Amino acid sequence: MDPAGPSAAAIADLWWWMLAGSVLLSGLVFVILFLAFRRAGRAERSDAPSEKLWLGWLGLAMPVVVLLALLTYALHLGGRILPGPDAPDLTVEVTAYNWGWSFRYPDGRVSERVLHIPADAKIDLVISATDVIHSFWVPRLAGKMDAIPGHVNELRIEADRPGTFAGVCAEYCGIGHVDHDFQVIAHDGESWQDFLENRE
Amino acid sequence: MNAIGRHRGLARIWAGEPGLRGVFSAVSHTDIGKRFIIASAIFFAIAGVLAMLIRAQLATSHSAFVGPEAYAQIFTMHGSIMMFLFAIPMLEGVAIYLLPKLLGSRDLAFPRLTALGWWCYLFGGSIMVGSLLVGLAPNAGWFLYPPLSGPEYTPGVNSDVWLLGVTFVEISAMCAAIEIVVTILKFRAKGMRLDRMPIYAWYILATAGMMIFGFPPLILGSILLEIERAFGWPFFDPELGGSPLLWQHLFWLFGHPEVYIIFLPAAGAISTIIPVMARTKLIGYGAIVASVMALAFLSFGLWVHHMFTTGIPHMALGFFSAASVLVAIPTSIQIFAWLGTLWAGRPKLELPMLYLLGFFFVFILGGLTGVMLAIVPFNQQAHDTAFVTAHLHYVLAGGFVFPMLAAAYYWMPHVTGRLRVMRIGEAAFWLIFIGFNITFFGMHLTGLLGMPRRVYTYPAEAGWDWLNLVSSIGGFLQAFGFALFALDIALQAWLGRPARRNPWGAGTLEWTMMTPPPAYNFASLPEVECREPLGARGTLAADLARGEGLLAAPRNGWRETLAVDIASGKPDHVAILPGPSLLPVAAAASFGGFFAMMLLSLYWIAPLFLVAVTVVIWLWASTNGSREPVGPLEIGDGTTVPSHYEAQGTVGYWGSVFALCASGTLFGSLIFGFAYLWTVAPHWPPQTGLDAPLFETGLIVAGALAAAIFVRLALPRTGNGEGRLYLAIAGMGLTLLVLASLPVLRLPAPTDHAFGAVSTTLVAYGLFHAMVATLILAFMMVRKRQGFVAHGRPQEMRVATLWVDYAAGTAIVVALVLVLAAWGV
Amino acid sequence: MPLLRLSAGLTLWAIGFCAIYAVHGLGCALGWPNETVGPFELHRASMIALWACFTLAGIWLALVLGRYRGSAMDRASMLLAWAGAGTTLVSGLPIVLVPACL
Ligand SMILES: [Cu+2]
Repeated sequence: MDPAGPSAAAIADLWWWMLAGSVLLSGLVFVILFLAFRRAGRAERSDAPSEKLWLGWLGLAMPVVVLLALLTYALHLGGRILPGPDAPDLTVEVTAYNWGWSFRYPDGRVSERVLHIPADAKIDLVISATDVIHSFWVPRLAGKMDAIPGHVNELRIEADRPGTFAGVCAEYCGIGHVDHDFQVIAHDGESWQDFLENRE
Repeated sequence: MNAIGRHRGLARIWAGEPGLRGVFSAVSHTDIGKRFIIASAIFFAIAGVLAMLIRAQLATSHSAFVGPEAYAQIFTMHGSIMMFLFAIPMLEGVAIYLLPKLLGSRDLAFPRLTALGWWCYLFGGSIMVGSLLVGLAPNAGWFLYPPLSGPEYTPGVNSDVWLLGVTFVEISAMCAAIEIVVTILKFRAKGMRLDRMPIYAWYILATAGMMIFGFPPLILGSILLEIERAFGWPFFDPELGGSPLLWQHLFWLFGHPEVYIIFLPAAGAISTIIPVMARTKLIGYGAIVASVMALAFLSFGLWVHHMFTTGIPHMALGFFSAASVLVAIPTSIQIFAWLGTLWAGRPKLELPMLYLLGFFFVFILGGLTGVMLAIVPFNQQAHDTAFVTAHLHYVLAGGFVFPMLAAAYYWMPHVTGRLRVMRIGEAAFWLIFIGFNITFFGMHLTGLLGMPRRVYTYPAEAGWDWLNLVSSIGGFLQAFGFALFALDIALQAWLGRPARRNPWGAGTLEWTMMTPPPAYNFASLPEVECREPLGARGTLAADLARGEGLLAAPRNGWRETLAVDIASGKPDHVAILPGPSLLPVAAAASFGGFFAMMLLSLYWIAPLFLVAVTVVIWLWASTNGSREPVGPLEIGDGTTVPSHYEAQGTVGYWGSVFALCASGTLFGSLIFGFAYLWTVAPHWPPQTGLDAPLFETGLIVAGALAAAIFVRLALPRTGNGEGRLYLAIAGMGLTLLVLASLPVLRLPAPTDHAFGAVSTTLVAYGLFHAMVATLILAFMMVRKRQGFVAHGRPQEMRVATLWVDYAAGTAIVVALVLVLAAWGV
Repeated sequence: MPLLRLSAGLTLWAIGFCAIYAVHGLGCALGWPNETVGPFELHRASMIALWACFTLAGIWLALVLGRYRGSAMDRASMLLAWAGAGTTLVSGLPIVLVPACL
């Protein structure tokens, strides 16, 4: 988890929050369990356990509050990292096939297995496949998006610094699945100009 | 009659047949339940060995232990066996074994159906495992996504093995589900109102209900994909108006409820065991029932969370994300009910409790990562990585394996009548628990570091080596633990000292019988006034053995048990159950022949086996019923009730109702598929349209209505109504013929476009039910002539009416859908 | 029939959930978001209407079932009806929080 784009970064933040919450909640359960067995030996028991406390507050109210907060935040975040409504700086058509990736740029050029993008720009990918289902995933930039024959999906990515990022196919696609990878090269302004002018 | 005489009499009546014949003709729920449990444990071991192969392969980067093709078969079969041949049959087996004993009944509602389910499971499972031995096992992942699993990219027999084998096993699951629901509704002790049922029965009722509505989408999906593979109908082919996403919807429409189908029975065992271990009562019975029901419903609103990365609009993902988050709430209520019960009681750390502590630890972590995955953006990052693999193993091992291990130790004294020998169980626990966490905890990390699932190798520079090596070591520790567990159980069965009755001090009815349990369960049937009858009346076991309960006297060699009113538990009638029979194994073998012919692509021979199935079922139905009036029967509390031959609302009736519910779900899924392809798939509308078949629709409606009306008029009140039955047959026959003419005369070719494929399938579905209804009506004609259907014994005609109504209804719906579709194109 | 009362609340949720999901899917497929009825977007307005109807119906059902008091089943039925209404409310939240067809 070393995010290099706003989408991946937001998801990483979300993950740390959820992790903290999970540690707290599971800790609570384990402490209760531990104490229940410890007091089993000695304490006087009050006969009727409080259903209101155990089921109403702990079982119902607590998760409702936690989950609603999480859900609202996540829906909001999910909406934010979608492509649009603001226009992208560049749109690239991505086609996955057994076992390669081709990237077609607006000027009609096509690159195989390497996706060139400018850094610090919003890129919309229009993703499809020609044979079986694949999934486009660059872990450090954004979540994944499936490449499905007959369907066209969109994914927005953004690299906030120049660099080379590894991408893989995340959906099992046959025996070549393991090597079904690609690279994303995020260029700084100058080398992006070079790329555009075909001086690669 | 004294207790010994009663035991002898009942034992003779309920005994299975001796020798080899007895192996094939057994119908007793105790025997079949044990068979299910043992077979599923064996399948677990097989899938476990596959898991070891996976861990051996992944232990280091660039391992050359197995190649990609073998690895694909291994991970596909590991998942498929664990899900379809271990988890579901195991929960069925436990329920089949326990339910009648918990409910105070002598057997399940349909003993021969139990046996049919067993044979279908055994044959289907054998086909799947056999394919592994010859290297032709399924290899497209356990959810078998087309197009990868389709005819073009898996030309071999691999996917067919999965589709046919799993469908065969699903038949078994549907048998079990229907049987379980009907048993819980009808075969309970006198006075066991719904709110006095043992909590386990609620869990299993919900589970079986979910199976009835959750499995048909997968069965439909499997049928469609198999048709596409065998005959080229393009349901999932985007070139011809199909969509690979339709499969994903159908699969997960089954697949998510499936997770809860697996978890709920285990939770039922937990809710049963925890109060006993804590020496108190479960707190919040009503709240738990409510949360079980809530889980059962909500789990049908989550399926799309397996499809968060398929490009579905974010708002739709939001609906499913919300439902996925909410489903944690009923789970949390149950967890805190268990914690509160432990808090309120004086828990003792017996061995089953130790395993339940393992459950708490593992399941809580799995549940929390589950909430994380319900969150769309996080899911899109973690989906299809080792993180998901880790999560699902925490949920399934925590939510199923650990509770089942606890249940095994808890009920072993009941199954074998013996105590455990040495303290091997503790050692097994620590090995499994520590091994499990070592294996899977690190996989959360490998996943977050970007390791996808289903890769047979990975580059050394990825830096995942040490995590994977640790996982592999944990895996082998775990395997050693399971081996110790198996050894412990075997030792207990062979060498254990005899246990006294009710060794844990439980309050439920299964502990009132001798252990190991006799074939008839209860010498006389209990009456109950509370949820823990044995807890309330310590002498209950002896009283029942002395014959102080109901149906204490063996009568006419009949296998009698009590059927009650669904809500109140008042005695309703005496059900006389069938004895050992070879019909189930014959039916399963005929099904097996059909599936084998399909697998071998002998499509012209396959239908012959369906004819054989029909013949066996006809013979089967012929063995029921009574030609003579039986009259009211004494049940032993001074009252009389009718026999099931002369009662209303018998198990046969309810069984048909739920079977039709399942079929209706399949039909609904098919119509959903039609609408889905229409709106979402590419290349719609199709080139070749359809003229609205208005004339045919008129004929279909007329025939269907005539059948539904005349079958009612033929109910045996006065006269024998044979003429009316002929008219009903004529009506249904007309519907059948017109339906059959549609694909020939009207519909576009099924191979050209998904439109033709789906509409032909719709018609075929209507045709299937029309054929069933016609056969049933013909059967009723025979039964009337033979005197089985007569005044006072109208039950079979009522069941027939259900099937005729359903066939009539679906035929009309099919015709109307076609008319609408024709106008829409 | 106590089992039907027990299932009523969440069955209502299930129907509402399917209805909203269906309208959402159809709307996106047929391009409704671009159409308006008076001041409202047709697509979102129809989903909001469904959402409100099913939530209100769920609350009404819970109030009705709340009148049966006796067994544990009656109480559970009422709880489940509230659960159904609450779930309808929460699972419809995306309608107002998220863009419709992206
Ligand atoms: Cu791929």
